[in-house]
Amino acid sequence: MKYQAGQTLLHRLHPVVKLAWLVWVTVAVFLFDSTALPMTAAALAALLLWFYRIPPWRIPGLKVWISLGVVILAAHALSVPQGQPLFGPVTIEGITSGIRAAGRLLAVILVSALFVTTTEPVLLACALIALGLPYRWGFALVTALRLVPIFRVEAHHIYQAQLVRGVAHDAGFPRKWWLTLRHLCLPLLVSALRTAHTLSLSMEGRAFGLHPKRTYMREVTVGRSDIVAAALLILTIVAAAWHIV
Amino acid sequence: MIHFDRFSWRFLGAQSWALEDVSLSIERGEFATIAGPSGSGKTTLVMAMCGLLMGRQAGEARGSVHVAEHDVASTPLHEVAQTIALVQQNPDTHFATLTVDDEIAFGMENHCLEREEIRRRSDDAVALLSIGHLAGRDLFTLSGGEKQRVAIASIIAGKPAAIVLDEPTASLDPQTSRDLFENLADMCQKSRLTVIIVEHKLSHLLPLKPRLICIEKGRVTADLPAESVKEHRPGWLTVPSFEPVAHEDTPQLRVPSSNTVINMSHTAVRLDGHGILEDVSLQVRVGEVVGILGPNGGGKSTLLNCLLGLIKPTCGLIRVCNREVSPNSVSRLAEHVGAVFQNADHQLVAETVWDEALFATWNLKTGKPSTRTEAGRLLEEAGLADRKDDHPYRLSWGQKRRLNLISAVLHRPRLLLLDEPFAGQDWENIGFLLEAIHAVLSPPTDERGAGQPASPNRGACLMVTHDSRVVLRACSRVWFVADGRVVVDAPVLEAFAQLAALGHDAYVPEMPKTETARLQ
Repeated sequence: MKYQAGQTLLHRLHPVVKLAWLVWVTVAVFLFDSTALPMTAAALAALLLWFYRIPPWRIPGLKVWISLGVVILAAHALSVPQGQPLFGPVTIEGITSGIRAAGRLLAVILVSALFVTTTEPVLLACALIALGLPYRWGFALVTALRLVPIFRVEAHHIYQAQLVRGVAHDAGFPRKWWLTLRHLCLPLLVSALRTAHTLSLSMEGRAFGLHPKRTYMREVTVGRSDIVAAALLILTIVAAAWHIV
Repeated sequence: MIHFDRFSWRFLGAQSWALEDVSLSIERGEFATIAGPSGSGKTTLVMAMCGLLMGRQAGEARGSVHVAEHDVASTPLHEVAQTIALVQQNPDTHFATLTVDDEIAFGMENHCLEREEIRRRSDDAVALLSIGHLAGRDLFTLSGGEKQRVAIASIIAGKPAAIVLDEPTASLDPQTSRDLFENLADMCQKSRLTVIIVEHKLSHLLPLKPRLICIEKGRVTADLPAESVKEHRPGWLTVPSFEPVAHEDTPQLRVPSSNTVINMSHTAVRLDGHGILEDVSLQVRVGEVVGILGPNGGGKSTLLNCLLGLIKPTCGLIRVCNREVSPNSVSRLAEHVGAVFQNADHQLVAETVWDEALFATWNLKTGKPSTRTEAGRLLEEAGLADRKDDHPYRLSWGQKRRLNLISAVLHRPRLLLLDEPFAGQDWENIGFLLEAIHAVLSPPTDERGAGQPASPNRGACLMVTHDSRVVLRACSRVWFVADGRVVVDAPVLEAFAQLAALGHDAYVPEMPKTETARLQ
């Protein structure tokens, strides 16, 4: 899952405002004992993803998360004996509690996916740096995002190179896992260290870290829609606090 | 501008000097090439001039290196880099950001230049490299040649007086390599930028008339001005005449063989609705050595991966050594197929050179009493006999490539698939690799029996390479793969004639007179 370029309202929204909304939604779905809230947040995020031509089923690992949600639902259904019985040991309260827990998980996954696909990492780093984050930390985020796909491709190549030399990675579990761990770790570690060393030389050669501050070609501006989104965020937080108190 | 004064360097723990008594001057605006056999000290030389040796690597130095009057040993890297900057061989490990624009601006932002100045210099660099069409692109989506150009733009935007490129075309196809060299020569002329290129493949570079600095065993053995390169170039630069592995004239191939090693029919690979391979039908007979040429991203590696079972075709049928290939049979197919991938390090897993050589035979349980003798002989021929207890990661790139090949051939596969085995190799290494390929194609001595005449070949080999010179000398047949299709499939000389007629002359090597006559 990575940033998908676009010019929609969500794409243009200030990265920090979007990040604040992400944090707030994540907190809110756990803060309130509501089933409707996480389900609404999940549905809204799924709709927006769909609208941005990113079908939710293309989110990496979504099947795993959905399976986990089903397990959570089942666990709640079987472990909450109080309330109106539905069938066997399962009660309506158990099912509701399960839907709420699974919905929270799904909401966090889908809202995060929406944030990642509509937020350019470099702009997020620039915005956070402008707010006072040391720029080395900001670039640690960018560099990590840069290296993850490289290592993923390298791991795949190493795996394939060993497969064709008779390492039975295509054997069944658990032998496959053991062989993968045993033969993948060292080449990948060596490759990661080399890449990190070369990259650090390349960055140092281009004066990264030379000055306490740096300039930016790109500017993250605050527009009217950002002010509206931030105001809405504050309003919902105040309303939530009022409700709790 | 760059001045070496009797400079020597020895890495910590090494017996011999990596560079010895080097005296050399390179002036502003020069277009220079540093060439030499593998392990001769080329990379150490450029590391020294770019400030990446003294104070950064453990070792002993004698003499001095000055860049723009500054002693490199006592100047911080970022200051040296403002005068002379290195473009790494692999642009993927050079990039610090995610998009083309951010990458070009990165160095200037670190130097705290104003936004307008950054934009102006970025535009200049983009115009010089002709990469305006890449603006705003994600770096992951670029081709190898595009990445290399963006890496160069990110360096020259900082306005250094000199740039050094360490084998910039190692994984680029001939057409892209030629375009890049022309771009660099043009840039050197227009902006008086000093361009220094470390390169093995000189066929596309020498027509641009660079100064040629030759280095062997750590010493500068020739320093030829552009005008005299043709007459005085050293012997090791000339392509040796290998005994062809299986040329169309070799007796084995005159006899038609019905024994096919590869049978691929109507194979296609599609990814997200995009055709990577389109309706490929091919056969390879015993004894054939096929050179696979073509542009980057044309489908060459996908073709090899399909044959290995690593990629499942969308449609079509593939049989290798009379077995149907499927993704769940890769390790079982490995008994009959040996493969060498692009990156030498990705294939090294054992803790000693000896274990690495025998790794596949242990996994496949194909070891015979003669296998250890054979391993010893191959390591001896590869010059690795005294390194067999060393960790494979301690070998040089060329030595790792030799070890990769030994490890791929020891179980005597019937089919050998090689992906860019000659990248960054000198002729001595290429010669060894070709000998090893020859050994796979020939029947083993223990099967043949002493005193018996040589029997027909037992295997076949497919090699993806950008080096047409090797294809001319070592292959019996050429496939030219572009846009997912096999555009040319013909015996070597005929294939080169077809490629020339199709306008792909960057892929046609310089032919010896005898071969030119045959072609005509």
